[in-house]
Amino acid sequence: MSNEQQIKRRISTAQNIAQITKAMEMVAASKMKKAQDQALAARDYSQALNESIATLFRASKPSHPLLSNHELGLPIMLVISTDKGLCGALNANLARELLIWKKQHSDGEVICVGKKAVLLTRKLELTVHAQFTDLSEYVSFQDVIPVIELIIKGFLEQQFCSVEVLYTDFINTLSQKPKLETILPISKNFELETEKEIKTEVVQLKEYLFEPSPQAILDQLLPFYLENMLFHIFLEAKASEHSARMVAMKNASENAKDLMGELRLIYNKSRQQNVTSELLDIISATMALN
Amino acid sequence: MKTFPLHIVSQERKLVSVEVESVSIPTSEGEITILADHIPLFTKVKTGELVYRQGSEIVSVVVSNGFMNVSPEGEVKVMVDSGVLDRNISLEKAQTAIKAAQETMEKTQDQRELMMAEASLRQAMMEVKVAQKTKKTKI
Repeated sequence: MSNEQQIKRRISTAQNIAQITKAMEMVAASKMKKAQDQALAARDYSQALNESIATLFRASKPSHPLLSNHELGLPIMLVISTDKGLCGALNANLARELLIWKKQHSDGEVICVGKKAVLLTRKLELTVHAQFTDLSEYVSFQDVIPVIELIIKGFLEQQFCSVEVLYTDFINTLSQKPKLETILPISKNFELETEKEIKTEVVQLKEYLFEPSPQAILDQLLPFYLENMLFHIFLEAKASEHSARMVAMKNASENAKDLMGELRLIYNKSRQQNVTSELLDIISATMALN
Repeated sequence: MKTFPLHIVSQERKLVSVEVESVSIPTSEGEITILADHIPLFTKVKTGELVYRQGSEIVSVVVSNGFMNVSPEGEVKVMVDSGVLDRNISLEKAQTAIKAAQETMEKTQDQRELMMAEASLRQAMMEVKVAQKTKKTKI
């Protein structure tokens, strides 16, 4: 009898878990949708910004401290992880990439975004340069500004020699991949983009008017470019986090349901067994009496 | 009157997207008014009032610092900064982040030992639990 009760208890436990994970799945799904919408809404600006920079690059051969390499300072890695767990292998994948990076840059320091990144960094025995935790669920532009300010300042003062970012790239709801990108110096990723466009629009360039001057505008535009790039990375990471969590929770609730099914089968079997043995008892008792 | 498209975008979303006849905008070099078929122009926008005209309707919008691009095709794009108010406090935030990191660096050394101890305790507890379970239930 006690066996039966125990199984019953386990069934209700599994049921509760399934309910909770189902709810978490739904919450994650709606948050993912929000993050995706946000990324879509921000697309216009980055398109406009990229076009402008491409135009500027064509108009003048720009020179800016953010565009040039220097050897002084530490290599910096910016790791964007989640604050909370229960999102599948997302943070573990980041950890694997970080370990590879560590082997290449033994003197590197890490700027962490999210609590999990801090834990990872310490586990790998790397130095945390700065940490940004407890960011709001809804990524806003103001979350990005301090991070980028810190990076630009460090780079210009030659504390950092390069800045890379490690985040989870959102491919689709079912798959997210850790991705490594170089933020600074900028030239590495920008020259390729601009060269493609040069060929198509050489003609119109001479007429372009820049006020006050291409250089002055570029000085101001580049930090915006970086900010915008990082903002997008933040959004991608957020969308990945929510979709990973959604999938993890979906799996969890499915597993809980499977478990419930198995347990119910065992429960029914043992109940039937009890009934059968009781019947046998009664029958054999009446037979003995007769 | 000939019209041209005007787009105002911020980092977070698209704010305005309309066909207009003229737009006046405060730039770093003074206020300018743009009509259709303007020459390509790229300039800095200053905080102030942007005014655009659609037929008889005149609409004014407050813009923050940013940039404006009049493309060769005659399209006007204004990029404004949605984070203007936060820039002043961002340095402070960055400092806090560094300080927090230093604290973590000091703390984690002890925490590591604590975590190790906790992990082995947890393992022992689990073992006890499993031992009890296997005694009671035979599923």
